[in-house]
Amino acid sequence: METLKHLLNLLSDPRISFPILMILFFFIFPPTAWFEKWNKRLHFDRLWTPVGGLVMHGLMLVALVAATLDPNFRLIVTKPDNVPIVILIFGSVYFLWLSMRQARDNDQRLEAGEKPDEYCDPKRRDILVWPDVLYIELIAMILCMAFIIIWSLYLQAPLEQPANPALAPNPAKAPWYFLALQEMLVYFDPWLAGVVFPTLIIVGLIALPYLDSDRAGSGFYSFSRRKLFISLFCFGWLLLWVYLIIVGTFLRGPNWNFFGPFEVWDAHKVVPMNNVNLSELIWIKLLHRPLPNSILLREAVGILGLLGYLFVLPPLLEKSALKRFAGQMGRMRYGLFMFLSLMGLLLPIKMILRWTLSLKYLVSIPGWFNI
Amino acid sequence: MADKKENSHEWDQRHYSAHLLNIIFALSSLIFLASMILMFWKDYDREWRTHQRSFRQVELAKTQEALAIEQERLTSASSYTTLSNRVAELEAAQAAQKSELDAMAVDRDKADKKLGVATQDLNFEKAEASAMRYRVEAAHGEHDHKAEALRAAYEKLTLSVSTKSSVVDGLQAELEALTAAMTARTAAVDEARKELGKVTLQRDLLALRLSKLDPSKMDVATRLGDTVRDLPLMDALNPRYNIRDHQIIVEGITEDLIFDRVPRVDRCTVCHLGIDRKGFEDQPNPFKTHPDLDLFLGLSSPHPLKEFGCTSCHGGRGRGTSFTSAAHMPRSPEQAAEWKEEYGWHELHHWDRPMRPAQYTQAGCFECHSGASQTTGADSLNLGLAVVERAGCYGCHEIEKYVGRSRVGPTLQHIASKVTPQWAYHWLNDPKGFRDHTWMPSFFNQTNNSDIKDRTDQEANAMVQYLMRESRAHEAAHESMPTGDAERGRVLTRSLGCQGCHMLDGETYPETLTIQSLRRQQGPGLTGIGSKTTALWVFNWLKDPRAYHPATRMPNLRLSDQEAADTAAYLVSSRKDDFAATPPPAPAAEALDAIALEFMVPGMTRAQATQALATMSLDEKQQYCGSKLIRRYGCFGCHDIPGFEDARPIGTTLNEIADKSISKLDFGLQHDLPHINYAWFEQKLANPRLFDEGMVKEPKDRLRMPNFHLEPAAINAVVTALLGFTKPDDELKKMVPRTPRRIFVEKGEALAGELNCRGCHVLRGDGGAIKDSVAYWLEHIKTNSDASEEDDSGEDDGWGEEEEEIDVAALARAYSPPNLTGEGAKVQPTWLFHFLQAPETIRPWLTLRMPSYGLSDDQLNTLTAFFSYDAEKPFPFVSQTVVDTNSAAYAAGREMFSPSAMSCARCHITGGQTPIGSSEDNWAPDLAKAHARLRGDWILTWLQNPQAIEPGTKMPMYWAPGEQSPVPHLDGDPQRQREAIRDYMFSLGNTQ
Repeated sequence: METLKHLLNLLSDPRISFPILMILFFFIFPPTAWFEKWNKRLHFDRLWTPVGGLVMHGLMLVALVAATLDPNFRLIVTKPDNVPIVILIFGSVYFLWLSMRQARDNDQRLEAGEKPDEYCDPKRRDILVWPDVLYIELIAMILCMAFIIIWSLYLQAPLEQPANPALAPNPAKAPWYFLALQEMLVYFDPWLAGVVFPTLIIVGLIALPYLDSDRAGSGFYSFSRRKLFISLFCFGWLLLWVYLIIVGTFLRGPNWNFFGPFEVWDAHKVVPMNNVNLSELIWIKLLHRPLPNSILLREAVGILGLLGYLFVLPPLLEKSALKRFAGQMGRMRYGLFMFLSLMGLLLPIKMILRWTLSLKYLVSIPGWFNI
Repeated sequence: MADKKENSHEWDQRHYSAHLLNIIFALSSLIFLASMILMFWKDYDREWRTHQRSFRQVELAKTQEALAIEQERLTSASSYTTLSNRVAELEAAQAAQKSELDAMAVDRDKADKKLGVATQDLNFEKAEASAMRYRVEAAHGEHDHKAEALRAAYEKLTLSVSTKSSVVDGLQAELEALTAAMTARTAAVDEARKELGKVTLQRDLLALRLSKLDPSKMDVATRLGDTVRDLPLMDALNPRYNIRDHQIIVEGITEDLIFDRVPRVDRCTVCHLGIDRKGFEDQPNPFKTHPDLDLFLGLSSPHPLKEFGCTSCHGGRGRGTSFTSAAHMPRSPEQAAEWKEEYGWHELHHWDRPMRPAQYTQAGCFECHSGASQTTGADSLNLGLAVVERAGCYGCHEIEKYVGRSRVGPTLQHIASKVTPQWAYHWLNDPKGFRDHTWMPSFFNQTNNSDIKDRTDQEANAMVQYLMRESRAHEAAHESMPTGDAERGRVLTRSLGCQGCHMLDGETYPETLTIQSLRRQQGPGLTGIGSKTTALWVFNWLKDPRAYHPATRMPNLRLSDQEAADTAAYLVSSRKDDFAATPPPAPAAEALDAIALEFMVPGMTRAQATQALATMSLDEKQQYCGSKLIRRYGCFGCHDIPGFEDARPIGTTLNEIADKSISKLDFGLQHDLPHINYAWFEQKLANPRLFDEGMVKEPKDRLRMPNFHLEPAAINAVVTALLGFTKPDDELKKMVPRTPRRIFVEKGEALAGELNCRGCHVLRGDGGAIKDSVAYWLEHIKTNSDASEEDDSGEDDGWGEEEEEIDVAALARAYSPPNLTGEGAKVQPTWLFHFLQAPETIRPWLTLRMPSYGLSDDQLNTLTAFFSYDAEKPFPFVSQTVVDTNSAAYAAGREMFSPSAMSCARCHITGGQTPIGSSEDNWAPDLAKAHARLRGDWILTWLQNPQAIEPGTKMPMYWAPGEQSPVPHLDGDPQRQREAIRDYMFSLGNTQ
């Protein structure tokens, strides 16, 4: 049991869990035909069958109950602040499953040459707003109210002592919906992590449906007809947002140190934090010479790399690997799509570089620009 | 599409079953209703409401009981019987006129009703008139042509008002006449009832209270209201069980919310309903009466409930109305478990000032009384502060209260002239091995450094060698001494008063430390001195302690050479030779290098340090390490050490330690210890090194606080004091006004504590730690020496015969140092100043000796002012009593003084002339010194009632109140007689 807990503690470290989830993600939500082939071969698509859903939810529930037997896990999960996040996990999985199940059904129908379910099931084709939809919504509202009242009675607001600017809590955590931003702050400077990235991620997620010019999948649930865009959206939503919220809520303890789900939140935990800039890696470690005095020379690799990543990579891809895709989309759409995707990918890239190379900044011009 | 549109309104086209939706809707509505009911029930079902309900039952039972007792008392009281019989008689007589009286009552009621109607009519008319007047004025203002017409209407209304007014007057007069006629008839009964009421007041009040408590005593409507007002939902209106009527909005003290201050609202009394009421002492909590209503909560107490509330002393969350949310804190883990079981208690983590657990409540006193060294009623706090002073915590830790205090340990400036290096080495390694009650704490052989004993032995030796090398030469005043007699010395140490400050060899320490036993540990315990130093050193020390250690608290007892030699001989006869039997380890170059490197490396590279070390001899290394180690261990916090005269203390500050965030207290790996500050303090005091357990630390990083081996009672007391060291709150500080009296008393108290006056004297009702030693002396030494004197002289002073009847306590009092309670009222400030400067003998029969403290003028003034201010007597100038030696009163005084009358000189020494005819233990101070020493007004009070000033004194009370004066002089007027005696007494010193 202890070994299992220890293993889970290790696995939940973002350095391990994030790459695993990232790779796994593209097999579960295949963005291309190749991935789709493997998705089928690995039977990941069965996750979206009723049995798959039942097993998935059942396993999650069993895991939760079993894990709460551990006092440390229980302490973190049952904190009144954190209970909504538990609900969020189950909620996201359920609704994801619900939509994916419908998409899968439709995909199978289309493959068999039938029309999507939305065109056949009268219940889904036309419903009366009054009385049916409004009535159902009313019932939902009443049940929701009752749920919230009972919740608030039995899990009371976690009120604390009068705020004292001289005594900040440790860890000082943002509200749960901002925890992903706080997690980003570990990797980027505030103006990037707090302003640029959230804006781009949100704008990007909103823009994705409009960048998709293919009308073949419009009007009904379908995955295979717009796999790239759904996959990218889910990547931004599930991995760059929900996952980071979960990490921020359950796995970040005192001093924003990482703690496994079964670990004690020890305020005195010490972890090495020896991060270096890309310039130091190149000049000192690789070339064995002191840092050049000229800032531009010193940061040349970072600056050129970054510019290349953002502005040279898209045209290159347009001419090569993504030729067909770019042709379908048109220049404008393609450019916007690449910019948003590359910026979005910068976050996982930086995270991975931090974990592997202890990279602090790609470009570091103190007082002016750090990324 | 077309047919879809057509059919869309038809219900049978629906894909959802209306019936099923209806059922689901009904069910969800029911669930919603249930959740609402639950919400109201949760709001209603509160701990405090249950408590208030049960308290009502308790109060009801108590009131019924009290009422029954009161009723019984009345029944047996003759006045009650008489009065109630009289009322009954008169009522019976009045009953004959019943029909007549009833008719009168009907008439009066009618008149009353008529008056009511007329008055209402009048008031309505008045309102109309007022409104009309406004309209008239407004019309005038706007030059309205209707103004005149309105004015006429107003005049008419005014007329009507005056008519109606006179009608009301007439009816009023009529009613008064009718009432007067009635009261005239019932006057006798009313009067008798009033008389009876005076006797039954207490019972009637109880009955009134009962009528509000006891439903069975209520009429149907009241009873219904009593039930309904507390039903759920209905209790929003005017419930009996509520918070508002019980909470205390504390006057003048607010709560600091950092960004703002809000009124302090203490809701503790919402459940602690009997806290400020007598009679609930036998109840369990929360109804129990406060244990000390005279000091707290009572209106006439110094801390009334309305002005202080509860949380200003106890801490906790005043606004909390449940057991947990009030931030109750258990006194022990056992109690915590009990509370969890009983009240579902858990620690309220998010509250900065939880309630102090019961054993540390007194820490709250310090928040306001931080200036005082002794706070009445706060024994644990007082002991804690005394231990802090005795242990010299302020030597290493800054404590605002003790800033500027002198070091608590002996000087080490001349250490080489006092002890051998070998002894010093062993002492440093294990002070308790030499004296098991020493206040020198243990630095070595502790839980966190016993594994590096080889190294610490070198450390100890290096420090000792440093001290010995740096020790400055001490020119002793006497190079030789007379031969001393240890037996005479033994008697001297027990007769002179050494035991006021020292525990002698062979004395047993009490099991638990008390403030009184601590006073006897002001100086070191006098054991093993022969193994520590030489008789000559002790001789010189006794002759003049300040010559060796200018800042010592050891006073000079003005011993003669022979006395000092005898005492020294006795003291060095106590030996402990096996303590320092082995020589210290030889200096080991390797170990010393390692230690030296630790100190050198931060300032230079390792290579440089190694190079520097290579050039040093072993002695130099030892010297270097010794000096650095003394700085690391902070020895200079307690001792005056050459080279460290101005070194800064090494410990963390203890100011505001109670407010220190728990995360700043390093619990190490002690996970079982509750994460509460006092648990940490307790542990730190019990074993200061425990938090190193399991930690990987270099020797230089290990915890350094030494182990004082405090016993649980002392730890408890010190933690109480520590919890009192909070961030000063200006509002709370103001609660103790900074009057000159308080300032001088606090200063004097502090100095008296430093000088340990209470070791010998009772001061402000407390002290006299030497008392038991005096009793021992009387039993074992005085009797022996008296017996031997008797053998020698054969003279009988009456002692032998009286022995059987003598009251031991009174005898002990006669031979104890004088009680200084009220001393300021007794003696003149000038005399006191000079006496403290150079004590003279007042009571020659005492063997105890008031020592010379060598006080500075500043200190002398502090003490003199302290006594006067404490007694609320004028200071510093007092008028002299002028004596007219030619007056008749003076002559009368002399006569009364003489053996033929009151015979004052039978007990009192007069001008050095010892009393004849009374034994030594009846002797009293020299009256010839009175004129310079005593305050004239005090003598008068003293003569009038000596017992009131000093209970148990042998001074007779000549003028018993209500009795005739024992002597006929001055017309037998006691006041004039006393003045005459005093005047005569004052002339004694002047003439001689």
